[in-house]
Amino acid sequence: MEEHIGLAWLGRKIGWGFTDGQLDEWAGLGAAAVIERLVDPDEHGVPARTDPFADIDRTDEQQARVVATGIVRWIDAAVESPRPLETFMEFFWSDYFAVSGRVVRPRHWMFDHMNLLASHATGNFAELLRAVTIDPSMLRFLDGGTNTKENPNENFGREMLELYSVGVDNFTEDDVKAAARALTGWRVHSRDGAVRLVASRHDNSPQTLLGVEGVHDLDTTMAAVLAHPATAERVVHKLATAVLGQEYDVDLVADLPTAFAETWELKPVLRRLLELGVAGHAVPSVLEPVAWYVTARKLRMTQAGREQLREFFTLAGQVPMQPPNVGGFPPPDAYLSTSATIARFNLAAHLADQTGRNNSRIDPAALTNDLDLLAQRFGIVDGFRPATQQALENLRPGVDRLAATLASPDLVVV
Amino acid sequence: MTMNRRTFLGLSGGVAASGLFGGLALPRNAAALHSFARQSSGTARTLVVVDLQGGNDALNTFVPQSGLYRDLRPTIALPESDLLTFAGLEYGVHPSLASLQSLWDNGQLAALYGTGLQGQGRSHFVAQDAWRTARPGEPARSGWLGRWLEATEPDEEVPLRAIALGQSTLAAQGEQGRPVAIQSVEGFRLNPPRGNDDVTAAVLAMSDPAGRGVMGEAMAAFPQTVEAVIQLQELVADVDVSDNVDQEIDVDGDQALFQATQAIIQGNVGAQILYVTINGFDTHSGQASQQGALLQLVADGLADLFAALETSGHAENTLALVVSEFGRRAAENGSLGTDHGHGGLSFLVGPPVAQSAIIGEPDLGDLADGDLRITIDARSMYDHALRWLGASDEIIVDVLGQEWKGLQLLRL
Repeated sequence: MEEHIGLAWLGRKIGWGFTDGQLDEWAGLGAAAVIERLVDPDEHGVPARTDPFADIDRTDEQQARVVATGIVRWIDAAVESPRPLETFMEFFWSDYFAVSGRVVRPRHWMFDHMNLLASHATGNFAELLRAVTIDPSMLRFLDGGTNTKENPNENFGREMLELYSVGVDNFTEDDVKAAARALTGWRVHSRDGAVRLVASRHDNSPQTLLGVEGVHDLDTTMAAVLAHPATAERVVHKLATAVLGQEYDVDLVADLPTAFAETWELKPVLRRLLELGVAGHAVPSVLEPVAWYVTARKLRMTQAGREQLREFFTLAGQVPMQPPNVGGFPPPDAYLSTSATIARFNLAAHLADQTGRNNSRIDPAALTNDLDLLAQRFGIVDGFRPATQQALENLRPGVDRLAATLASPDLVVV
Repeated sequence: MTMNRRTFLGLSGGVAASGLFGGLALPRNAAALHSFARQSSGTARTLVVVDLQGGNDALNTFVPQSGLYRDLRPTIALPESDLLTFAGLEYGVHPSLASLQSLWDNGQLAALYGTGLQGQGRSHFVAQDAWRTARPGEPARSGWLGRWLEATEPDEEVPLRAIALGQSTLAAQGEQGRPVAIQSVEGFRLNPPRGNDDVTAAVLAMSDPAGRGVMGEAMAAFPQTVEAVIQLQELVADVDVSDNVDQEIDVDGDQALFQATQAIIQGNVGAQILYVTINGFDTHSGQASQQGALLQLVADGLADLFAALETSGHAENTLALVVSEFGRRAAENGSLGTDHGHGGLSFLVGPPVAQSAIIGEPDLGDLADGDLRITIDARSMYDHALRWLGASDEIIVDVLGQEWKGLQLLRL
């Protein structure tokens, strides 16, 4: 039974909800096997991720429509994802390396950015950091593409040190300048997004970065930031926070950074964090809006209208591919704001209402008739809290009960 | 469909009687609500903080006459011929700030050059935390406005006393409470399926006042939201907000935030703190168009706001404080932009300002590591603004650690 609770947590938190029968299937496999399949799907013949943006017409002059379609497709792919941990991590990196699709032009480069994050999602952090540094969208967003020998631009250098590697208090203003200089000269071709290093724009003079001398290019910059112990500590801390919650017990992962820094392989870290979570070491936290919506959709709910979805993500404060600033999305607690609460309630109502229409694949009355089964369906294995149970019993099975369930506090805390 | 407040309250009265409402104190009828509105109008003062997130470039906002300015910024210095002149002001004014002219002429605009908190650094997040908590270098979890709100909590709860517009803010976060967050008045409503308030009541009934931890907070979120929605929709329903949103300059739909600010103040909902966050001031490249559009958004927003409040009689009791986490590097960076700097530029706006003035002087010949120095502690502005809101010495010490007297820009 303990393991059942752990698996329920795993599916809610990392898997963003359950498809029908999935929790039973997991229970049959056992926690160890489920974690293995999540962490190493290649080893278990799990189908590969397909590019969710593949069939979008990027030449559409209505770029806003291209973006909106991209968001819908990305969410659809998350709902159907055969590799939920990789989807979780893809989204995690889009927050960690926050690039705003409101700034990047052309806007559809964000699709390539997401695909890049996906290709490294559970791979090697050192490779990911290097790839992101010269990713066209990142070069645009943090001005790496206009950072030149003649006119260094500190934007990327600073955020790379503060947000992507060693973190605040572990670098100086001189380090910012050194990192900026060593990364000068990268250019993005506006038409096709091709990236190359232009020697005449690159400052090859040796810099001292984080105490490492002779830093002069991309590879030596990467080597310097990866050599600093704070980088592994920071990445592990971010990962542990995402998986185990904000107030997780740091002693549980104290040994992880040293091992991580030897290879930068993410899988061992993730495996360990999932094991800790399944064993009951996760701290309850707020399910973020994207995860909440995907969770709802996994009930084979009719999808939200585009306008409703746009309003939901905007009011909730988490538009995929559009973090509000370079720091990424707000911490989970922010999604208990009045604005986010309205967003969830209204989308819950809309989803239930849509699902209740004639041509829907599922019948809300049948789905909500047995509240214990409904709770199970969400992975709430102990059933709804008494107050929620009582309130739902007071509503007839159907659209209203489904809406209230989706809007319940029980769903938003995992 | 909009929630019908009366049917909803009629229904929730029954829920309240059954005890499921917990500690929720909803006004029982429209008369009580309007009596509450009358009490809170007229006398209550409202502070509107506008936070230019990302670090607004001070030197291209109010341009100093020093020739060093043009030396430091060979390509992004604003052309002399584009600059506006405000009577008696020894700075050139960014052309996008034209709508602030009348506020300046009316003696309602004070600018402070060199604002910040010592040690705030050049990181957005460290500097923002320093400004918002007013406790630089400390891991504070409450903001300066949040602490003031809790220190002066009235006996009868005012649900809309603090409102964050655009995004939530640490500044208005207390040790316990958080501000109501609103994106737009239009979107601030609950739409249950087919308008059926039974669903709203059911979700309300899921709240258990004994709830603790994150689940406790999650349960408290919906009652707080319902209360805020009811009051806001009831009280601002009749406020006529101009709907002349200019798509060209409306960078992220943020004009709606100023319109919401106006509606909330004119609706007399008891709001004392309104915190408006505008993103996008981090102009490392292509600064001219980006900063221009944003400054115009803010200037027009403030000018329209005070014009409307003047007409409705609310202006005398409204003060705007415009802040930004830092100013930008004095020298341009070669990407037609500027990197993170230190000392910044803040404004106090509105009839409570004693006279238009600019204080603090950017010394381009005496930079700190290439940046303007911090010469005016942000907490002296906070002290000033809180006293205008009625804070005593004791409250000031409570909120800001000590008194930060010195500024005399406001009629207290």
